[in-house]
Amino acid sequence: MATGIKVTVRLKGDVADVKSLIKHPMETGTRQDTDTGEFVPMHHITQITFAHNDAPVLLVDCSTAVSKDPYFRFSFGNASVGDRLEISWVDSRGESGSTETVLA
Amino acid sequence: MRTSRRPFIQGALAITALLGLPRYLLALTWPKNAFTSTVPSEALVELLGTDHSEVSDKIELKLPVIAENGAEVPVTVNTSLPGVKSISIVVEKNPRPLAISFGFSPQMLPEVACRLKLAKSSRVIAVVETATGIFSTSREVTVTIGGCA
Repeated sequence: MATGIKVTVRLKGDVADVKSLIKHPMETGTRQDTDTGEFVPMHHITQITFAHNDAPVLLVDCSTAVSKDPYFRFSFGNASVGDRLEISWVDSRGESGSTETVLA
Repeated sequence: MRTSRRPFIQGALAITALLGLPRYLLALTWPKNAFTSTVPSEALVELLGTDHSEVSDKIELKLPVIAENGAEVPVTVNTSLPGVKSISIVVEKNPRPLAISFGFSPQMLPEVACRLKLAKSSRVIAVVETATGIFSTSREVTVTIGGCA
């Protein structure tokens, strides 16, 4: 399945403003397929970790109530040009994805 | 009284950082009982060890007064409270009320934004855990078309 992660980071001084969008269906398990009438099985991201130079800065625990293609915006300090930001996620089926971006 | 799981998480964060382990191992700590609970107060007890919080005007919960599409409601929480350890969002009328929980490292600035599903019009509660206690603020949201949550 697609594991696309879009991330943009803007540095303002030593503060990194992060916006991320992870492609994921975030199925609740209560939605019915319009053709077959069958319930689409639950399939949602459970946890996302944002790590700055290998040190986690933000850990996100998600329920099914997080919208499709989860979007997050946050900021953290002590950042500088050339630092790494790693985003990794895991879902309720044990599937996972990650990406790494270099602060510029 | 249950103990908070946050010290455990922060310990886990520190350990995985030290060992350089893959971060997805942290999924073991996903608080399943809190997220599958159907009662808001029970979910908070599972997550934070208590459902008691002090209402604070130092937390700002930004979301639309009327949400036309319940499937994508933008929510922003920020606070001037010091020492934020976690921010969690509860949607009272959702089938499973605990929507999301953010665990903060000290590097974080105290603001997060995300998009949530609201099954119907509901009170939304932002719960902020700091070094000194648990604080909250809430807002009512009217949902025109419910988002399956």
